[in-house]
Amino acid sequence: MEIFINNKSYTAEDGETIIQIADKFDIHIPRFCYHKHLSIVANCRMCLVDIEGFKFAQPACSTLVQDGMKISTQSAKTKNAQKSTMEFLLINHPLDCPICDQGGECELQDVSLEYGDDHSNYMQFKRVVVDRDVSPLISTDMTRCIHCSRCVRFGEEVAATKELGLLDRGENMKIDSFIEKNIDSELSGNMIDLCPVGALNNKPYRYSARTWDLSQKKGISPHDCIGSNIFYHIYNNKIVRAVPAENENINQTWLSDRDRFGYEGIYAEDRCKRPMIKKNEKLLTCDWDTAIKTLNQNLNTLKNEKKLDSLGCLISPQSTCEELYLFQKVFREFGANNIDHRTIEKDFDYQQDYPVMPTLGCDIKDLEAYDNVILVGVNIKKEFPILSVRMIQAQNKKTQFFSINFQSSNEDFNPAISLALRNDQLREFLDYLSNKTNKPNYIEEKMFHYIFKYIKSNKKNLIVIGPSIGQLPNQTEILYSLNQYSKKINADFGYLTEHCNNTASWLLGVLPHRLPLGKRVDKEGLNAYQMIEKKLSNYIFYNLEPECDFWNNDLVEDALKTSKMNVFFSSFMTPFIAKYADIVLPISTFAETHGSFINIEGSYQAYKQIIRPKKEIKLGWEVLNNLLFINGANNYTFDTLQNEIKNNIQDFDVTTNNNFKLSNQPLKYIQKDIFKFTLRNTYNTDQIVRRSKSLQQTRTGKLKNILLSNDLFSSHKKGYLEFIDKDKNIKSELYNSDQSLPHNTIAYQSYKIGDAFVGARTGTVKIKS
Amino acid sequence: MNDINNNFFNNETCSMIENIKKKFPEDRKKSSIIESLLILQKNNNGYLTKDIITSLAKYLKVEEIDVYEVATFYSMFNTKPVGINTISVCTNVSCMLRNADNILNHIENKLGIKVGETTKDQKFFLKDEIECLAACNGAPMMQVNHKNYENLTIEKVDKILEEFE
Ligand code: SF4
Ligand code: FES
Ligand code: FES
Repeated sequence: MEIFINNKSYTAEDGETIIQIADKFDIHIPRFCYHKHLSIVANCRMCLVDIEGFKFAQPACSTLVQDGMKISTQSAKTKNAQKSTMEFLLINHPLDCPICDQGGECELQDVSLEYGDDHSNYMQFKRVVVDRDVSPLISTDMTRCIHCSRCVRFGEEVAATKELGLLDRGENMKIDSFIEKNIDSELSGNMIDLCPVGALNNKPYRYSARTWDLSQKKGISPHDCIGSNIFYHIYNNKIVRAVPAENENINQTWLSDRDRFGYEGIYAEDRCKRPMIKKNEKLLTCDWDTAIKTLNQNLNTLKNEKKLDSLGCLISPQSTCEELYLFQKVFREFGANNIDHRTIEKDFDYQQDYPVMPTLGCDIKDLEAYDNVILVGVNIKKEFPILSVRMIQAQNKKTQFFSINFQSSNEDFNPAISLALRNDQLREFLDYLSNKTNKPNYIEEKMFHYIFKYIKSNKKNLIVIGPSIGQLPNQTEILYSLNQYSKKINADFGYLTEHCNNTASWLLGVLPHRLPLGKRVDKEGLNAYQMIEKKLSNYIFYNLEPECDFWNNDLVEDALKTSKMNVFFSSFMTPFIAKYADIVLPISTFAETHGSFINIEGSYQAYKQIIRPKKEIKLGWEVLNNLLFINGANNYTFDTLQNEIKNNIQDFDVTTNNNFKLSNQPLKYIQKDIFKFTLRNTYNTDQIVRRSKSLQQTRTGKLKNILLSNDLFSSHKKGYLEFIDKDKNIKSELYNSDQSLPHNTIAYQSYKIGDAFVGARTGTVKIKS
Repeated sequence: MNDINNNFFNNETCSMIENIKKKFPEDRKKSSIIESLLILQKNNNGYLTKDIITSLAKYLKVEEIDVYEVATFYSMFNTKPVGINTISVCTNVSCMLRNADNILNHIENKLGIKVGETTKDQKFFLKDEIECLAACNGAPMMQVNHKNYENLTIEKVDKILEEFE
């Protein structure tokens, strides 16, 4: 149909609103309550426009276009309406812009300047709202609120966790949370962006800069494999805040709190600031030249003495593609084969049959095309908060979710079935789904009934395997059973991985058995677990926190104790590094280097350096390049390096990737004793997030207690918990029961219990009675 | 059904709330909030507590804030303890023109409380924010415990209140 705005003709579709058309053609209409991803409420009245034939101006956000409609955004009637609305909105607004952080980027300020009047007729007292401290991430100044209700609708519609509501009415109306409740959700920061005024503001950023003094650089989230697009705001070469960069395919206009506040970890006190070398049992600072030369010498000695089998090279999949690629290249060039990134895994029997790289099996935006999505070993809300938004959208379009995890998942969407199973039960359960033999008796009949009724091979099904499965001592068995089941129900098969760049780590051959693009290695090296368990005499750790980034931190300490050379390329000086390192090379974090990540859909996303590192800290890829160069290879520039990687991967066809078959796995694993596992807590997942002060102050960040399943808890009568984990005796008073755990299960919420590390991430324990 | 305080949810209340739920489609759980709150408030001396709100939210499987919004919006819900008898004096246009303000002043003085307060002996609660109660033809009017008393005079008011002493 044809409509006219300010006498110009535009084509519009049935069902579109005036504001949608105006936005499409860049005709500005002021608004407060309207947001393209939220429902329409038309309660602020700022978008009033003059429509021919209507006596009064109409709200553009809620008025549907009609053929031949003539709209004016300039006429006296529109202007009048805008002025009056603005005057009403300012009646109770404190006009405290000089002390408000929103100043300079405030929609109220902008609209008032452009459409408001220069004086007000209002002489009476203004309303004042008393603020409560509701979150370590969001500061509230509710007197500034104009009741647009965007924050409420965000909670209701996008996050499906309504934390703020509109209380009372009339002049007493205020936005608040439920009595004594805080804002705790993993997506809460989005309300800061949505709030058009300074009522909800970024607390850690508060009073640290004025918006017009900031510069903006684009980055990619380093905290999960979704790859959300982020704008970092920089003041004096320091990141002061992060906001979402719109990407309709990935994060839309949202950002998880982890992505928004995680960067704080860059500014942790324990950053490595200088290269260091151990001399006479003491770690002393040295210059870069000495550090690199010593490392190079040691490596060449190993090479000449043909002892490279005793070198373990481990890198974190949180590193950039460039670092990952160069890492395997450098150490392969020396002749090393023990190269791996899978430091949190234990069981590697699956690796020969594995696809070239793990992917989600579909694009993120296509999740809603599935009838059934079966989530195994993942709690989306806690581990991939930004995906929650997609899954809620999918659920609204009738996708059903089934969740099977070690703790029944508390999700923002509503899984049709949410099962909590131990790792031994998981295999039995999956096998029963495939073969219908040996029915597990711990699952209610009606659950099976439901599953068989809805998950059928003529439906569009997706199985998603979460990162917790990788930690299992019997992950191959589980993968095999899942693979079988996926064939049976004709499902797409996908993964969600531990870190932001696991996909690239596989694709670029940071593996003991494969080169880039999945090509076979002649002589297969040791996997990450073997490297640690076998106590090699030389280690290279890249971007890894030895205390928290491994399947078993006790074993890591044992290995570091006995080895002859421990080299750490690291951004942080952890206690283990301080104690056991022979060479420390301080390298950039994600923000201090150019880089790229491949997200779980297989999208390659590059970004430019966001801030410059401190003087003695070098860019990771440069250090690796340096090592190559002094051994006679060509010197890369960042661009030649990135191009080489891009050329390598551009022909790789993601779509064929996931069609694979795991070879049969006989059931080997038998569960005795109590099953224990480590939960992947949202704010504990990587070394940068672990150091984000604000995130650690949230409710989720503070979770430390050991969780006991109900049966264990009720049979446990002592005031403290004492149990044997392998040969370690663990005692703790901090524990509570958790009804979402399967029987006979203990879960750790942190890598530490008091000062002791938890040891293996998964396994068994015995409680002392 | 943990966290649901059974003091408020005895069998009778539950079956009443179940009946309310039946009136609305399954995916419109919030629709049952108002009526359920009325029942719960009645059983709790005319006011709601945090505990009641939390329990109802759990029972209906909605968020606590959803229930709290309703409880704070409507003037028929009280979120603080109130007296046994509720007096609502209409002060809207028709009643105002017929001297409702005098009536209200008189009651305030007689009971020694202001609008929104409860007498010390807990007998009367003088409700605030009263708008037209749809009895303009009998203005000025008031309600005591939701029953209308019309064409009020000061003497009449005294008599009515005596009945509740
Ligand atoms: S707090 Fe901000 S977003 Fe929420 S209603 Fe008020 S102005 Fe709108
Ligand atoms: S934007 Fe249209 S009424 Fe608020
Ligand atoms: S104005 Fe008092 S009942 Fe209508």
